[in-house]
Amino acid sequence: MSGDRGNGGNRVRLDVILRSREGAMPLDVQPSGVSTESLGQVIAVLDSLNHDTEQGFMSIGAKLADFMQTVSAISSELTALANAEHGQKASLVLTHALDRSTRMSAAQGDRDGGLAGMRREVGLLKRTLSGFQETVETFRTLGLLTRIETARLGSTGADFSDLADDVSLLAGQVQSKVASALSIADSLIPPIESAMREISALEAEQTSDLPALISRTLASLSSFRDVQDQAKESSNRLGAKYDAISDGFKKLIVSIQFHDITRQQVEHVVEVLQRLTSRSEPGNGNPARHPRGTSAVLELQCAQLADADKKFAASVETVERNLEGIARTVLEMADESRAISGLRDDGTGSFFLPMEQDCSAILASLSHTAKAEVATLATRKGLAKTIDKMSGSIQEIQQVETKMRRMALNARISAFHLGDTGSALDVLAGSVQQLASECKERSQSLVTSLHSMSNAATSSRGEDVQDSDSAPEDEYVGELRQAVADLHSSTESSFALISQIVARGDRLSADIATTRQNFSAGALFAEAVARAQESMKQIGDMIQLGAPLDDSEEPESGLADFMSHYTMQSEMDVHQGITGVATVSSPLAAQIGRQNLPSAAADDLDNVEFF
Amino acid sequence: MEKSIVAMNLFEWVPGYAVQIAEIDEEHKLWLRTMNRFHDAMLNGTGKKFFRAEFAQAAQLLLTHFAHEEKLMTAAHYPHIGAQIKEHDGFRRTCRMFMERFERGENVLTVQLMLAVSVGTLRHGASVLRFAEYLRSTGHAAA
Repeated sequence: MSGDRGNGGNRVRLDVILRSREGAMPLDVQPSGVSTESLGQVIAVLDSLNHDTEQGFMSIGAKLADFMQTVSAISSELTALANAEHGQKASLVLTHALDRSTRMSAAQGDRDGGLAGMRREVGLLKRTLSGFQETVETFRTLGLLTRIETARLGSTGADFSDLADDVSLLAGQVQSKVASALSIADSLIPPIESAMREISALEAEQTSDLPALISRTLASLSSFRDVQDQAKESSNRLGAKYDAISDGFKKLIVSIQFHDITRQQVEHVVEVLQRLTSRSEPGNGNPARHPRGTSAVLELQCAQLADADKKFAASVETVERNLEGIARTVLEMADESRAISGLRDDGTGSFFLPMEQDCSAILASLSHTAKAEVATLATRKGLAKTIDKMSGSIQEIQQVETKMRRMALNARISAFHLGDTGSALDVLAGSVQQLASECKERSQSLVTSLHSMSNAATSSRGEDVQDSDSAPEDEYVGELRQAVADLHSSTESSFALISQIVARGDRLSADIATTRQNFSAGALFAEAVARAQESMKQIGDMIQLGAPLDDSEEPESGLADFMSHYTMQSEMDVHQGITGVATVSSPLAAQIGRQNLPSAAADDLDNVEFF
Repeated sequence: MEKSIVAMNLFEWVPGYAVQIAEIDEEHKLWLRTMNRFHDAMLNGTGKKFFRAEFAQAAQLLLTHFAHEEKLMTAAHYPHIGAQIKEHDGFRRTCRMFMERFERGENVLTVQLMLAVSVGTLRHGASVLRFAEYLRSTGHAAA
């Protein structure tokens, strides 16, 4: 649309040219037997016609800018949809994530297995510790037997009286340490079981495993790329359609502008009729000074109206054809956009829905995984501390064992010095020594178990266990979470854009349909022209019948003067058709003479000034 | 999305929706404005943020509005009030479901939400047109 009306160049401003034309129609002929009232009615009909049809055309003209803007917006939006870097980064991250998530799922199994293994280790630990109870009892028995034997030996066994006390004392110490270790072992079990329950509950909440979800999302992304390809094709097709639509709009504008030509023709007719009425003889209202001339003028005006009607009908047909073409194209665009979205009227069917659900499920899965890892980590941190305490108890037991072995060795040496007398004590000391060795093996087995548990507790998150209370969400999980969140954002964005394209198309289609429905200028014009022609014919007939015959009067009296005042070639052609006299074009008429029909003008659309 | 994309009003108020009762008409307009802002946010990929910030208030507005409308329908002896309440209940359930999911910490499914409320809004629009026509035909509202 050009707003630069002062820089027309070769452009034809039909409305300005026609409206600025100065000078009145020549009218040397006089009304003869004309009913002023009847002519007045015809003038009123034609005046009203020009006004009404102009309104109809103007309303279409006013809509054109909106139509063009909407088509342009749809075109831009389809291009944006086709070019959107929808999920491209997410796609890369997800592809990478698929491999990682498979390993994460395996790690989940390890995590479960790790805790179960720790639970087994604690059971073993407890059984081993329980084994110490029997050892302690045996120690006590050996202490009692030693006391009996030393009593039997009397002064000979005086050196062994301390041995009995020491064995009892050490047995007590072992018992105390074992009880402490058992208590610690008992405290290990609840947190492990609690963590296992928590993780189990979290796993139960998970509906799908992460690798499957990621695979599905990648498939959805692939579907979206298909949609983008479709959008690209649509966009390209729309580019061609847009040109066609723009061309259609230009033709439409030309057709609308040609309304000015027909309006001018009608105005000329009105002007002639007004002159006929204004020159009627005062007093009788039915002047008949030149009845044949007046009748010829009316006949000529009927012919001018018929010509205007023909042009108007052609113009209206072009307008309707163009509107129909534009509407059809817009409808195709809207349908295409709807097909791209896959949306059904009830809001289902779009691939966007499963895609969004999968994004959500991945985020939920990541969240569950993170929670499970937090639970495991917390458990392991607690276990590590407890295991440290337990290790302290076991070390103390081992110290007692060392003392026992040393004490038993000393007792055996003393018994050896006694000879046969000390043989029983030697047996007892040997038993203590044997028992202490068994204790050593048992405590060594405890140390191995604790070491294994300690490793399990600190294996995957050693640093975290030692140093950090933060969530175990590593960089990878964070990146995946961000990629999925970005993917969801772009999904909703593309969905919103498609919804907008569909809505624009629907609204534009409805708007054009309404405009077409309301455009009734063609029928209005034809009806009014028919009425005016009929009236003028009747008036002409009445003049012919009622007026006295005057042979001196030329039927074409004064008609020749019309020729130099016509502004359009078509008016001249009509005139020539009626009178048989060739006209000489006025410079103005020659200038616009080629602008006869919309179809002819449409060949030179670049010279048309839009509204 | 590209900067050149301009959000349009996905939901449009049409004069036929007017029931000529200022409070109800304003509530309808406010809801459509809210939905258009939601669409705008989604176009920019910030639908979740919008939901977190505004959906609770918007849902409350809807619940209050339905209560107003049902009161008015009862007073006007609207013959289709049963169907209307059923429709309102469906919309209420949808809003509550999304709010509950949100409160449970679930991820917000904005596409699903937009589809659900779009369908609900369009249905309500058709019902409002019918009700407005009833009010006009029975002289409860100016034609």
